[in-house]
Formats: sequence, structure tokens, C-alpha cells
Amino acid sequence: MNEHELRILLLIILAAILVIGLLAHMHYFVRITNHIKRTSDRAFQKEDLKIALRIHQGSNFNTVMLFSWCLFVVAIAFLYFLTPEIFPNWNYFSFPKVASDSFGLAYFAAALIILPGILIGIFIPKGYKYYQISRPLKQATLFVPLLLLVSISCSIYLGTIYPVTDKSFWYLGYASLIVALIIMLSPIGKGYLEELRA
Amino acid sequence: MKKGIVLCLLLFFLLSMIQVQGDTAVPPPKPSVAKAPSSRSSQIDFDKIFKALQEGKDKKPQKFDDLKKLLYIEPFVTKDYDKNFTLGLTVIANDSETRNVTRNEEFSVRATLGNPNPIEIRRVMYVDLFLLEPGEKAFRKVNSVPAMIMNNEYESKDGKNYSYRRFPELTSFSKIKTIGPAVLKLEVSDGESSWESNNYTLGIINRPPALENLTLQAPEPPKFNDPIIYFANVTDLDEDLVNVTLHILDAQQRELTNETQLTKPGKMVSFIANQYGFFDREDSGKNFSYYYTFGDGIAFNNTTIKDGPNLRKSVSIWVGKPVVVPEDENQYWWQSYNFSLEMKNQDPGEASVTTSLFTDTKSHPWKAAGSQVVTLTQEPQTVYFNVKPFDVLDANQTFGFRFAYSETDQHGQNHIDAQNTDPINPKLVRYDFVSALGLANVLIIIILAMLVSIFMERRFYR
Repeated sequence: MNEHELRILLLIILAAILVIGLLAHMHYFVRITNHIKRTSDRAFQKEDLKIALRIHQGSNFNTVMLFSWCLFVVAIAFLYFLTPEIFPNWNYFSFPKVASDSFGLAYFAAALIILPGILIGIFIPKGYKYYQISRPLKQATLFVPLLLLVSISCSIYLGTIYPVTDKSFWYLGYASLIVALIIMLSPIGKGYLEELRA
Repeated sequence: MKKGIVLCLLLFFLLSMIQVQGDTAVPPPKPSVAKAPSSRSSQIDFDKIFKALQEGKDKKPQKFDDLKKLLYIEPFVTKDYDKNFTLGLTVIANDSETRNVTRNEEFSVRATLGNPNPIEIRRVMYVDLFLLEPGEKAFRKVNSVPAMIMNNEYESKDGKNYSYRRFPELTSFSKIKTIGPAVLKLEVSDGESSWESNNYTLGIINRPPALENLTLQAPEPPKFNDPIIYFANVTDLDEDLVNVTLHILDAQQRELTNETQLTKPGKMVSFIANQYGFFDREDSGKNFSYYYTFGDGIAFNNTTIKDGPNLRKSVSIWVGKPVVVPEDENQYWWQSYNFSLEMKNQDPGEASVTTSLFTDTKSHPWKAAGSQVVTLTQEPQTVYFNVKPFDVLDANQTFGFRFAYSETDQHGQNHIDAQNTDPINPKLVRYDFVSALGLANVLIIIILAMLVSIFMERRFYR
């Protein structure tokens, strides 16, 4: 497997983690619904169940997770689409007007935050309100923006030195990105595992 | 018609003769001969008669004619048959009768026949239309087959019977090349007699073409080899093709040359001086004028004489040493590059020359990088272009450049090309990560993401 294929594989792994997180979240609801149906003789609406399950996680936690998901979108795009190394035809340098500008990277990031970032931010973090999240886990999520900023910084560094490359920075960026993603999905994963044990 | 009646009667006579000869001239069949049917016998008799008549026609034509005269019977017409027919001819254009039509105007010719006879004694009427075109001496028949009016094709009006016919063979004079009065008339026949209508005079009008909006498009003042284009709008209400001829005159208004184009009306005709070679270097500094003649094949006209172009004096320049010096030896795409060219005027005096710089890379072929007007004397001078002509797509590419100038150089050219052998540095981002710009970009990303997060938290999570 060459370098390019490996990086594509790593992207697929990231996507797979996201899909697993989504499936776990959906299955979590299915299990809870079935569990309540077994133990209760009263009929109920799914929406009523969702309302009943809601837990207020706090404004700070919500803001941190929104911030993290916005940065996650920027980090993954910067890692894969900033230089022409992985996608020669789909990258930041294909837009010479933006890439030539002093604040081109900021423009690129702004486009990512405003378009897909807001859409993701509206829906994904809402999933956390159905899970019991422990204080240590909430504290751990505070490190997610830092990890994502490490990833973004690595990508920007690679962009500034391109066409010179430095694999170690790319892998460091990827590692911090995947760790951040795992931490972001850990409340869902933990809640799902607890439900499986029940 | 008369011939047909004679032949019918002749046939009748011959059939009568069969009976007569059967009684007298032809001997009866011999008893020994097998009996033939009676029709067979008549056939044989008829053949003999026919043969005899043919021989008579050849050998005794006079007697044959006498026989024809003897057998001829006047066509049957009752004594009440009224020959006072009324003939009318009308040309209708735009739903009303007209006496004048333009060449491309659609019209229809309507014949009216008033027949005083009742249906019992009417005869079939044959109507022909004849036309005398402008400049012609004889009428020509318009319709190849006569229009027939049957006995029952009349309508009663004011005690008279009228019938109408139109002639699809004549609906416009678009193909006619002569204008003036055309004359139409009808000829009506009942097979026995014929009658003619009064002449109907129809004026054929040609609407002449027009040339409008005459313009001369050229730099001011133009050089002899500049793109000098003569424009004019051609119109012709009859939509004829228009021959437009441009005449170029010298300062004494003597014609130097002319060129003709055949143009559709409604279009703009253009004459490009370089294409026709109206001017050459010898014409530099001279004044010219022009006018057009135009026509549609019938009407011809000309415009007034208009001034132009007034060609400016041409000079010869010398150019050399095209050089490019990058801002620094790294040759990054975002840096300035100093392009220069040595130029001088080869003629005495000053010359104002427009010099332009173009750069050529794979991503941006022959991109305009700058232009300036320089005043040249006989002393050589260096013309500089300190520009930033490249963008991120030009990174890692070699480039060429061209100086183009508005006068002709010592080689008879209007440009000089050169190539830079070293490629542009492949580095894409113009700043380092650890720099004010690099950190500012990171900071902007953080602040923006934070603001968006706070906004969404307040808007969607409370």
C-alpha cells in the first residue's frame, strides 16, 4: 500500500467511525424503545420518549461541542483538501484567487464553518442530550478543540511548505483529529455500551 | 373545339356508312364460309371504310375537305343564348383593391364573370389571365391551364349570375427586375366565342435600399496597419439583396480603390481595411475620405463623401535586450518581476509608442501584465515593467514574455519575445506558518468558529 492509498484508507476509517457513532445512536433509541415497551403496558409516542429522555448538558458543554464540531469540519478539510497531494483536482490551490490572498486560509475555513459546519453543528451535538455524560468525560471534551487546533496547525504548516512535504506533521494532524473524533463520540459510545449491558 | 365537333360528326357519319355499305357495297358472305358473328362482320366493314377514308385523305385531299365541309354542323346554341357577359378584373392587396403594388407585396388577382344566361342554356366558360410586364411588348398568358367555370358555379346577385376565379400563378412581382406599369386582362371563352376584359393597369413600385449609420471604427489617430473598419447599416423594405460598394478617396478626392459586398438588408456591412489592403506604409500621414454606392439591381444611390481616416505618420523603432529580473533569486509566484526592454526611435524627432507586456505560462497563456506609452527619441532608453504577473497556479512553471509595441521595429515586427529558463518557485503559500499572517489566519479561524458556536448554542440549544 502506498502513501496515497494509506491516507485514503485513513479517511475511510474516519468516515467509518462517524457512521458507527450514528448507528450506535440509532440503535440506542431502538433498544430503549423496546425496553420500555416490554416493561410498560401503556402505549407511547416516540417523540414523547425523546422528550422524556432529554438531559440538559449545560451551555458550556453545548458550546464546546459546537465549537469542536465546527473545528472538526475545518480540520478534516484542511488535512485532506489543502494541498494537491491527496486530491490533485479538489484542493484549496485550485482556487488561485483565494489561495493567492494573505487571508486565503481564513476564507477557506470560513466557507467550511458557514456551509457544512453550521449544518453539522445544528444536528449532531443535539444527540448528546439523550445521554448521561459524566463530569470526567465532560472535562475530557475540553481538550477536543485543542486537539483539533493541533490538527489544523499541522495542515496549515504543510500548506505553507508545500510542495515540500513532511509526513510526520501529516500523521500528527491525523492522530490528533481521530483522537478528537473519538472523544467527541465517546458520550454516545459510552451510553450505548451501558444500554447494551442493561 | 370546332375540330372536335367535326371529328365527332365524321365518326357518326362513318358509323352510318357501315350500315349503308353493309346493304350495298359489301357482298354477302358465301354459304361455304363458316358463319361469323355479326359484330365481326361490322368490324371488317368498318376497317375497310376507315382504310378507304385514309386513302382518300392522302390521295384526294380536296374531296376529303369537301366531305368534311358537307358533314360539318354548326354548334348547337339556342336562340335565347345571351352573349352579353360581364368581365371584371380586380387586384387585391391587404384586403382592398389596389392599383399599385411593391415588388415583394403579396396580392391576388380576382376575375369576375357575369353570365346573363340561366343554368339550362349556360356553357362551360374558360378564363385566362394575360399579363404585359413593364418594358415588354406582348402579353403573356399567366395561367398554364384555363380556369373553368361550370354551369352551376354562379351565384345570383341583382338579377345576374356571377362567378369568381383567382389566379395563384400571380401573387407577387418579387422576381421582376423592371418596375413601371403592368397591364392585366382576362380572356373568356365559351368554346364558341371569346371575349376580353378591359385592361387593368397595375403600377409596380420598387422601394430603394438605404444606407444608414455610416461609421469608421479606428484608433485615434490610426496607423496604416491598425484595425480600421468601415460600418454601415443596410436596409431595404423590399428585402432585396443590396450591392454595397465602398470607395476610398485620397486627399484630392480621387478614387484610389473600391470594394463591393453583396449584403442582405437588415444587416451591417463592414469593410476591414487590413483585409482589403486599403492602406500601406506609404499612406502614413495622409488623409483619406470615403463614400458608398449601393443598389438593389433596380435603384442605385450613393452617400455623401465622409472624411477619414487621417493616418498618423509612421515611425521605425529599434528594440532589443528583453530582460526579466525577479525580486529575489527564489522566484516565488507572489513576488515582483522587473521586465525591461531597450527602445529608440530610428527616425529624427520624438515618437509616442504604446508598449505592452504579456507573460505566458501554461496556466495563463499570454496574460496582459502591463502597458505604458513611452516617448522615444534617437537616444536608446530602457522601458521597465515592475509587475507581479503570476498567481498560485503559475508556481513551478517556466514562463515566457512578450513586449508588443504600436510601431514597427527594425525587423518589421510589432513585438519581441523572450523566455525565462528558470521555473517559478513551486512554493504555494506566500507566508510561513510561524509568521504574523500564518498566526492571524489561525486566530481568525478560532474566533469565527467560536462566534458561530455561541450563536448556534443560543439559537438552537435553549
